[in-house]
Amino acid sequence: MRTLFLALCSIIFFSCTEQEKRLPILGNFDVNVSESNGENDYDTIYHSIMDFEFVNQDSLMVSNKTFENKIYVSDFFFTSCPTICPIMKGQMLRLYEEFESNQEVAFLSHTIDPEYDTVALLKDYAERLGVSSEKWHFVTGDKQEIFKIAQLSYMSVAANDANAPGGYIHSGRFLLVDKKRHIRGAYDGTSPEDVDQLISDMYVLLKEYETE
Amino acid sequence: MKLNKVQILFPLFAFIFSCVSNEKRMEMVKLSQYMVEGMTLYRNNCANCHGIDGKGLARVIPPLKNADYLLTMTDDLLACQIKNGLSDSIIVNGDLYFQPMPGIKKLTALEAAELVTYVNNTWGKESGLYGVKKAEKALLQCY
Repeated sequence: MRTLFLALCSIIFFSCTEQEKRLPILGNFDVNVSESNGENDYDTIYHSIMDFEFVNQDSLMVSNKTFENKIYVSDFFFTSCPTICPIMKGQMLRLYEEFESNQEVAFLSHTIDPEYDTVALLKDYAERLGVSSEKWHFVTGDKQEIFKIAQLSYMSVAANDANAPGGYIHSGRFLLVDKKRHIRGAYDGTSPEDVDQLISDMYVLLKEYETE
Repeated sequence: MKLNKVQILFPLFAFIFSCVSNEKRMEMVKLSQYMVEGMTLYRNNCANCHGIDGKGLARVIPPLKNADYLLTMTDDLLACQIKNGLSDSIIVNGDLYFQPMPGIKKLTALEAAELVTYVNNTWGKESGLYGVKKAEKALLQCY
């Protein structure tokens, strides 16, 4: 009887101390092997966002440094996009409103049509959305650089396609990036349910830094 | 043979209903057909930008819901704008919008009529049916 009681207690105890959820680190990773003291050391190199420099809606330089000590959500769009962008921006606006007062959260939207989307146009677009340029950066820059970072860093699609409405194809993905430039989640920016998931994952990610 | 109440009253009601409001009833049926088709067309062609709820996107994309622009717009002009798009800037509820609206080139007159009917009767104008014949005529006279 007593053992049964103890067993029950321990079951209850362990069910309560369930391990906290941790988001995975996405992307390919390498393992560096080095030798020290005659033993092999294995060091995992995770996929991380490459160095970048773009210009935002205030004509300010935006780089990895801008997002130091912040987690951020990144996407690719263009202002004249007739298909999925308005839905994505509506969903991103939900995220923005949810985390508006949290200094550890930022947003980064890259235009994939820098010829049309000038700094002035991006500025107007951001103002029309009613968002602050400190928190939500709309960036432009060299088109090839933007395509490159989309494909290599954010594992997103962005390219010219004369057959697509608006002249570009791009994925509607939202990428969640942590403070160490690692991608911790990829979500469909056109799906409100996926964006709900993103909101709760952002809270999970922020918790990692509380305990550190 | 003795008929009970239902057996007498049912044909009587059916007779009254069919005769008195035959035309009106046809129009009601047509209106609901247009609304159903219009909703599908709206969701496939318009909702990405204007939203399923017709609220638009902040001050980037204008709303349709309770938009003064729609209340003062003629149905014929609306049909033309849906088919051919819009590149002029417009003012909706006091805000200026300049994002061009792409047209739906392959839209038939019937589909244009269904869309106009749906938009009008879903978000505030309540102007009833906009028939295919009117749309056909309107689309020939777009400028």
